[in-house]
Amino acid sequence: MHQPEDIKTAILGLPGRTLAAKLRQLMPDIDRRVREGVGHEEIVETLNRHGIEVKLETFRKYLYRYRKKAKSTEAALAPTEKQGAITRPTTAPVTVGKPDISPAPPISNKGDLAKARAVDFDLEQLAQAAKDKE
Amino acid sequence: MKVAVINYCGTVGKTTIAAHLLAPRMEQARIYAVETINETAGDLGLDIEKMKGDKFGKLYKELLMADNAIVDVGASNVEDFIDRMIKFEESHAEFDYFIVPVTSGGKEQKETLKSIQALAGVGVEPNKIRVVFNRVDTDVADEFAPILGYAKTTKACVANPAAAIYENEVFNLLSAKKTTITAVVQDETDYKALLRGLDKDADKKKAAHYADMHAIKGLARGVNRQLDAVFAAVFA
Repeated sequence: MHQPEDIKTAILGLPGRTLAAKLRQLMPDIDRRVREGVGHEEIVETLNRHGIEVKLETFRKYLYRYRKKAKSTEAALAPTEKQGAITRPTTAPVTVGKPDISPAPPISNKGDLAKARAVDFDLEQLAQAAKDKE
Repeated sequence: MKVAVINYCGTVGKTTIAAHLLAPRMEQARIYAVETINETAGDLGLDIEKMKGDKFGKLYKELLMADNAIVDVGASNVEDFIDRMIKFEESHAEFDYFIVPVTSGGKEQKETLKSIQALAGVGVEPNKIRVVFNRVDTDVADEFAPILGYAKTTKACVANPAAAIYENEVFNLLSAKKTTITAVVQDETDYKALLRGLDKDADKKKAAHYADMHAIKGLARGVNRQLDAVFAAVFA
């Protein structure tokens, strides 16, 4: 008997579906795995192995757009509704609006430089800031 | 004018920008490639000086004497380069601009933001840090929204959406042929005529080369005109 995953793979491989449609279906799982630390390259290799031909750069665009869309959907939901409707396996708090990006701290030695390099940026939050009015 | 092309991230097009965007439009600019492993503008046939990030003292002395210079800092040398810039106090003032190329991937945009933060942290004025959007597919505002959001929020750099180089296969072809867009545009050879003049038994490699060069010339003229506009937008 076929396993559900086999069927899913077979269905995804059916001709006539666009790349966008195939990726859209897989994006929630992909997003989760990326947040768990799986590299973009590994995901793309796996997709290619399973017949979904996508280049790394294209994949990143789809992922970025998916996250952007998920974020705006989430922001549109009321807080009570949000908790039940969307689960994000991330520990990062979801904030909307002006991002808390402070100006670059002064760098006066190699240690400061290393610290500055370790700072992570929330790209979705910054992308939202680009759209916000002054 | 003296500019450094810099980004912690590799493969964002630093050398492409140094060789095809900047060098042809900066009169007699010497190119210094601070690079240990990757392709440099020297591999594209340009006369360059290659050095490692820890030779900043030598570079600094040469910059003091130069009118125009392009310093292409390879990703693996950026940390050393910035570290030396901290040690040679106010040495960043010797550069008129720091060009930070970026492509649309998430990792590339994050590393670009870190590069800008590092430059700002060592005291480079925001007006001197110029972002160049590279390998743009369709829309800078859509593909590079985080960079634009960062620039708008922190005002730590200048990110002009018009400073955009669109994806074009000509750059890979130029790299494969080890030449520059300027050399191709100035090349008056009629490759089509050469191709048609070959007899049946001609060397296939030669035929392929003529066909490639004819195609590259067709692409290069239009891209070269676009780069004129990009150059103006970068330094606007």
